[in-house]
Amino acid sequence: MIVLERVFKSFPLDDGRSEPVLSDLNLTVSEGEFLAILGPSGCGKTTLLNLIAGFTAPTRGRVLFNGTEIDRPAPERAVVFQDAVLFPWLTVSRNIAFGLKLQGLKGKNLDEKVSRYLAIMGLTEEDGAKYPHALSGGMSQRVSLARVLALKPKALLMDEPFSSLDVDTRERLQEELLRLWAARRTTVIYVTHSVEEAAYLADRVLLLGPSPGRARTVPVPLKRPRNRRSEEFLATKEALRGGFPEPLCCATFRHSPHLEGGFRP
Amino acid sequence: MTGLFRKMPKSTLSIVLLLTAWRLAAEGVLLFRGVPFPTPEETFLRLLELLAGKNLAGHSLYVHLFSSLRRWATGFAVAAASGVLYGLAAGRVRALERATSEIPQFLLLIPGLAWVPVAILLFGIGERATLFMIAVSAFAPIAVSVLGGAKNVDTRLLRAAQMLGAGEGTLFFHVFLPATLPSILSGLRIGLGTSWRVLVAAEMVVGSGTGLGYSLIQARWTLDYASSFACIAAICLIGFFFERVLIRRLERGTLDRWAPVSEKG
Ligand SMILES: Nc1ncnc2c1ncn2[C@@H]1O[C@H](COP(=O)(O)OP(=O)(O)OP(=O)(O)O)[C@@H](O)[C@H]1O
Ligand SMILES: [Mg+2]
Repeated sequence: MIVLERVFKSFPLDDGRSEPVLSDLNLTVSEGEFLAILGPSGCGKTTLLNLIAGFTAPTRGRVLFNGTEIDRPAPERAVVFQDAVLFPWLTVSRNIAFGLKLQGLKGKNLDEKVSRYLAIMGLTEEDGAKYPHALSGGMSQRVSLARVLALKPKALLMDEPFSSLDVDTRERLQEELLRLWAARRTTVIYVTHSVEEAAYLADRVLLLGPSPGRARTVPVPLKRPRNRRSEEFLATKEALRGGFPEPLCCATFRHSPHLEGGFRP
Repeated sequence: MTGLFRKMPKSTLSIVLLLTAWRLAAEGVLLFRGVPFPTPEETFLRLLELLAGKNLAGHSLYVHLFSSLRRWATGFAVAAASGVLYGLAAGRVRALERATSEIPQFLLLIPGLAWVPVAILLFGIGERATLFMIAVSAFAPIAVSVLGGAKNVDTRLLRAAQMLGAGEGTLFFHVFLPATLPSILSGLRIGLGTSWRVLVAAEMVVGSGTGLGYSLIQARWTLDYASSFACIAAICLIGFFFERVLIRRLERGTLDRWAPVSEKG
């Protein structure tokens, strides 16, 4: 279970003042839940994810994971970054082996596990011998998922993981993610720009408005598997769009292409 | 014709052009100034004679070659070790960087030969003065390049490693170091050229008694210009060999596999 208690996060500005990004945020994510974080660019989605990952500490307030305060990154809270962030000097297989080795796995056990996760993510042994520069965006993201799934994380923190991929690849990876999530019941926190993506994937959506301190969560009342073209789905999307905690100053945001599930500029 | 050009290695073309220009210069000098100027052929023949054991400034070419190489290797090793260690340390420790990062920048502005008085005051005329000049001149470009690379290591790579479970040691040796390797290699490459040039210059000035630079100047005193030119050719060939064979091979084994040049843009 992930708990945020009155979390406040600000960044110092050059002129000595500081800019609040998150203010007084309370959030509880239960085990096995799929939570999407939705909001316009710059509203603090990545900042929030970084707090839970343990990359940064809150200015005030507490972030707890299963009752203990998060003070550093750890494999139990694995992160999938927007652009994969693989180690360019390691082959795909060795990228996947990186975390496993740190858990003390070696020799045949290690090789077997790497092969298994290559296969789970739909990658071949030949792909495993490649260096990251030779991969397509979709393949990189598969590797980046494989290397964290192999560590059996309790929570999966994903920062717009599929947003730079084409629609086909994105939808295919979304399906695979849902399948894995259903099989393992890992907690997933999934940052996105896209209302459609949030509505399709999540149990619940955290709507982060452009001004700090105005956030709320909205449940997604849809059964799975979901149909992107059903009436209810479209209604849910509308409800999410209209559900932001403040009249979105940016009418631009409401109608921005980001939120239509389309391409980012 | 262009097809023929394309088949030749790049360096062949450059060498042909260079030899042609040299040849023309030799003819021109003879014609207009009435002074014999060693042609490429004469130089090549003299180089062969020297290689066959002809005496040059009191020793065989091999003695000079060996003592230059020994000096160079010692000086360069000192510069490489201190430059790389300094760059890595200052890249990791903020306080060290703030206190010292301008020093190599200043050193970079001092031409190699300007160290002669300093070296002689510190060590007197002789071997150690030469080594000092080599080391201090090659240190700066190596330190600057390594520090630049170390400071700019992508924090996302470090974060990715941390969330996969890496501790400080793994982070340094398995992420920070390989991520800095491109800058280390390019620093070494620049330092190699610098130290080789400074070595030859130092031998010319400090009067080392042996060495390619020393014999180049000695041959000139005795108006044996062909031998001077043969020394220049030897210096050039050896420098070329180091650059191509040593550094290029290192790069090919690492950087090129991680991201081939053709794809870097
Ligand atoms: N390290 C930092 N230093 C200073 N300001 C920061 C830092 N990180 C984020 N910010 C600021 O905090 C705000 C929120 O940034 P964040 O990256 O969390 O937004 P986001 O919602 O993830 O946006 P996007 O959708 O574009 O990724 C921005 O205004 C940004 O300028
Ligand atoms: Mg972001």
